[in-house]
Amino acid sequence: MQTFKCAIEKVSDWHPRLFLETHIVACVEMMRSYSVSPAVFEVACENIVSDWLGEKTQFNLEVSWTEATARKAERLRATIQTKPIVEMAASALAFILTPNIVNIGQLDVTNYGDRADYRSLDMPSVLEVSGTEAASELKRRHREKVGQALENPYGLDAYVVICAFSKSGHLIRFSYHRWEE
Amino acid sequence: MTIPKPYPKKLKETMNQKSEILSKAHALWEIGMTETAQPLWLSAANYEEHIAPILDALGRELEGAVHRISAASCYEKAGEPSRAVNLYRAALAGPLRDGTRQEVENMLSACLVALNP
Repeated sequence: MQTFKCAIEKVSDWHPRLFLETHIVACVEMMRSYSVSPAVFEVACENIVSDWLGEKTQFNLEVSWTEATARKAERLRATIQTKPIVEMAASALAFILTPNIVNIGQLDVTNYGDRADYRSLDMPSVLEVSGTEAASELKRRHREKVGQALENPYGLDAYVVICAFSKSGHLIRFSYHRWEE
Repeated sequence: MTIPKPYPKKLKETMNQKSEILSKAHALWEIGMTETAQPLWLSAANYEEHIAPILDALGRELEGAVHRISAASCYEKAGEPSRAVNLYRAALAGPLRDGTRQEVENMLSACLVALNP
């Protein structure tokens, strides 16, 4: 299977105008709790148009990390709960997929209640991300987040990234959905 | 239907600066560093307030309204509910989608409750 390999620390370079240090560290915390570096994610794509992917709908994402980031991850685990760690980890992985698999350009962040919303300023689309530690929940969470993403206040198309971290193997669903009035 | 004008380079740069601050505020807030995040929420709110009318002038009124919601949410997080109320009301005066309008009305109600002595 086609594999995209990268170091998680590169995410900051790909999105230099977003503060992603905590997301990167959270992602390492999730990955290191299941395996040594690198971690492999099986990515299933739906409606994704990508030069790198071609006609394929699945690929492997291999993510490595450094010892220095692992030490920061240890400290993060001691200070915050699991749920925000999982959500931030999922965001870090989404920020690998965009721009490397699909480049949706510059992302604008807005605050909406308690959540951060991401919207592309270069393509008419939003990015919705979520994470879970229950692989069995992936399908349901994906369905729920697609619905939520298509309720976006702009009325734009949506890219949805749902990540499941689990002992039996990490999974990601990456999909694109057209907004319909 | 009016075709919105493209984003001027200067506006995109301003939005970039705001996104950097807002993403940092969010990260700090998520890890429980709420006091450290407070000035960042305030700064992000100021940026959003500045960005919204520029988007209106570009024929992007819906986006302008969403950035006012963002400003209001940031002011709420910064502990400035009065300013949040004004911005939620300003957003509701704009062209919001039905679902969004309902959510913003709920956010406004919660904010007014917080303001009541």
